[in-house]
Amino acid sequence: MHLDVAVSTLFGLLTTPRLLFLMIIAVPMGVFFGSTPGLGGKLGLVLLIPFVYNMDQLTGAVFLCAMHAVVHTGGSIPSILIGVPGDGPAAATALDGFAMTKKGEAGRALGASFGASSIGGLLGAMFLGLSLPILEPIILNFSPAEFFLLAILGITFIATLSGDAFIKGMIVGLFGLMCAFIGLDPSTGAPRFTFGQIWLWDGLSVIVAVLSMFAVPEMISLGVRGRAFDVSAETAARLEGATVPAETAVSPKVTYAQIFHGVRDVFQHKWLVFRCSLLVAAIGVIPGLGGDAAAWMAYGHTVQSSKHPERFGKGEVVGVIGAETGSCAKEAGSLLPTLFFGVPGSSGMAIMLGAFLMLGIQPGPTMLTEHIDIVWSLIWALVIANIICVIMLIAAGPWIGKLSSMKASFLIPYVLVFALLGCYLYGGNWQNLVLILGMGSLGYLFKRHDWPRAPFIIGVILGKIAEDSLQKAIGIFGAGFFLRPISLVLIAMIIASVAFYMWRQRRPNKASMPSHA
Amino acid sequence: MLEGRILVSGIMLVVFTLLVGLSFTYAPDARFLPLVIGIPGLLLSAIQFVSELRTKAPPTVTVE
Amino acid sequence: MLKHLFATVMGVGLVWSVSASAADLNQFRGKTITYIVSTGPGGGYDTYGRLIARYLQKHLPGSRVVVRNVPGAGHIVGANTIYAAKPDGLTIGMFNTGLIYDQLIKRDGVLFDLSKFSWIGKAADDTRALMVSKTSPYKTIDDIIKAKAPIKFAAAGVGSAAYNDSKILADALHLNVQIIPGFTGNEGEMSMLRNEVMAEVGTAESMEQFVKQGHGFFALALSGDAKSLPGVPRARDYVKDEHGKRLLTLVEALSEIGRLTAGPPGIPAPVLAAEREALDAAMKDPDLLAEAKKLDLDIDPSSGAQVELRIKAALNQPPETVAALKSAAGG
Repeated sequence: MHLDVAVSTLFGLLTTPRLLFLMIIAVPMGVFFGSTPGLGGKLGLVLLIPFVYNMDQLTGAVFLCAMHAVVHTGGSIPSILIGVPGDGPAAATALDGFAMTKKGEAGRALGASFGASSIGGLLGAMFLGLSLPILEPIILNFSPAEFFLLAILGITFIATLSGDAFIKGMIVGLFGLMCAFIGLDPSTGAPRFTFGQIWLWDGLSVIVAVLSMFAVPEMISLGVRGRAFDVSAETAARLEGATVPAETAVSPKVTYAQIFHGVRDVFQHKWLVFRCSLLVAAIGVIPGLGGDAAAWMAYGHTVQSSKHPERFGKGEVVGVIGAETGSCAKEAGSLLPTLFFGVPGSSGMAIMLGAFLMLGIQPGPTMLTEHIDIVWSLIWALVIANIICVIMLIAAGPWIGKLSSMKASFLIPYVLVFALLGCYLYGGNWQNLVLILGMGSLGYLFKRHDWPRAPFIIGVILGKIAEDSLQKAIGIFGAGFFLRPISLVLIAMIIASVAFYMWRQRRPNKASMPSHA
Repeated sequence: MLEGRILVSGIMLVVFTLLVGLSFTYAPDARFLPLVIGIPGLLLSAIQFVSELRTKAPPTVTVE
Repeated sequence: MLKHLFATVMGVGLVWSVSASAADLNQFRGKTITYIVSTGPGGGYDTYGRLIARYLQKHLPGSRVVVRNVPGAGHIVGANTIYAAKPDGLTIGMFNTGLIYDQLIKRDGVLFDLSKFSWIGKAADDTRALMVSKTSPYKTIDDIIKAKAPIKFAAAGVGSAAYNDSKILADALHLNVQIIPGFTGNEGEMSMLRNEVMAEVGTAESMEQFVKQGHGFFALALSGDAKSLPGVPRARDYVKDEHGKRLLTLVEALSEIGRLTAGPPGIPAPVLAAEREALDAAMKDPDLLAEAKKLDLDIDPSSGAQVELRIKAALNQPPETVAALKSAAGG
């Protein structure tokens, strides 16, 4: 199992000052790009690539990997502090993270997030290293049929995430799925729901979906109510009757004590973290499905496996832990197909792949035989970067917290402008911005009237994968595609998941839950 | 006065009606999944809309 | 006496025009050129584009060449953007040669006319080939032609150049194939490894790795001369009828011009000349060639003038070919 290579490469990384230095500066860069909504790690990678041209293989790859490893951790910062996700996976973190900030537990949320993402990243990398020998046959057996079923499994989480508001959640989820169909139909190439606009041919991008549902609503509610944290009409009615007005109920001061509390929470839920990392790294390994989908699956699993699913979305630290573990563990997993098959495991990996080729690293089975040292170096780079990241972020915690407590009210417009700008730079068209504002208004209405928004994102992400895979599966296997062994296992999992959820809903203590509507 | 919550469910109903309607104009292969998703969505939206219409003022919630 | 005067004027004129054309390269001093790449960051076109942009900047002294990604609708959005830009030479860019297909069948959304672009040059060849999986029961092109059961082909999305190529090949050789679309990037190769599909049509360059690793072999070269894919049978030899021959001519025309650089119609002659000269110089620059080698990028340039001729020839297809193309690309 290449123990000798593993050890020697780790040693090499730690004792080469140049590499250490590069990893140390890569981390804040990664966090910066990840934490600025709309910019995202992908842009960061693209901007860094020219600098990497002149480095040798190992140096360049380690540098980029280190930066990429911490992007999602960065993404959790604005998600938690101001409710604006830094990227797709971070939207799951925003659900509970921001709610925690509103309850005055921002520090705890941050600590939990940093802890979970670094441990998730670590476990993911370890999982990757340990499973190198056996993964190839597994990857090779995952066909479009299995992708489709995995996507369906993910879609069933929509139900779980809707909690009490089942019908509303389903409507939003189905709407997300419909939006996933915008663009050219995979089997005939005919445009659907594009209204003659060719910039819609490629469909609705995830970042547009995330910004519409999570960023714009925050800003609108700011404008409408003049305060940073909006509450729904029903909850406002409740609070107005109480003695503490909503505005002063929050004190986003972040202390070390809070942060460490959050980190301790992660250790208290170590089995969850372990399960999520495993689940997500495994999903990340399968090219095409990984990425945003994986993070949401981790969150979905967290909710499902909890004894108190009704607490999620309202500031449950376990939600932050699950989401963050998910978004970071998947990167390690997605490195595998990128290196061994030249098939990117996630969108960030697609750019990394380009960079690897530029550096002269040829993906393929030769990586296992002739270049195993590079593989291990990259795994260690992920590990070390995660460690550096968590140390830096915990140390900087209180200052990061100040960011939100200061002026969340005027931060959001700046963040939004940045986000929209980032979107434009990446996609190159202004029509997306109009779309974001339009859909964002709908997102605001959802927020105002307690319609869950997370299902929309899930629908958009998984809908594309589902249809694309279905079309291929039928083409390859015919209509009986779900009768293959792995498919049957997945179908069983889907049924189990739905059954579990339904059984959950019948439990006696549901009746005694306060109706937060 | 048109209450917000009725507006939202109304919007979703209109949206789904539009999308399902559009789906019927596409080729059979292209309209398949949109209909599989759209029709249940339309039904649920209708149910939600009617449900909102029948609910009176926002429920007074128990203060803990 | 007049004769001498005439000669002197001619001589001066000649010297002046030669030095003037060399001086043209300085007209971009202090200016910024936007080089539009019609895909997102990462990927083949982006890599070529960024490489070219850097060396264009080197050969246009004092200039800045900045890459801007304008993805969407399979290069159509990028091409539209370049076409509609102000023709001052400060906006140029790259898009897929396959847009020739889109223009020929008058696809919705195409707002450009390839024959009118100000062509600056091309960087590579796009030799198309049919690659077959080693684990398939088909060992030669003849096996494929004679196959009784439909052979499953992986192809990129419906409407893309690769998809059109697949359809054209199937049509021209009367092959019994079932084309499954939607495989982007290496997905087709992955699918071949899983034995779900047996073959794929694409550019030789993109499929080279797979063949080198021993998973597949090139069964047929759709274009290029004997040098490009040695030992591989040429499609020309297998296409029998007029209809097939016409379609193949179209594919061949496209294959010779890959990684195109162009600007909007109407760029003033001296500006265009300077850009063409700079691109030619860039493509011959030993540093660029060294970098390209490191990145494993094929470099096979042609001048803007030659590209213009080829594009116009490729667009000049008889109605029968266009009809054949339309039915092939129909999806």
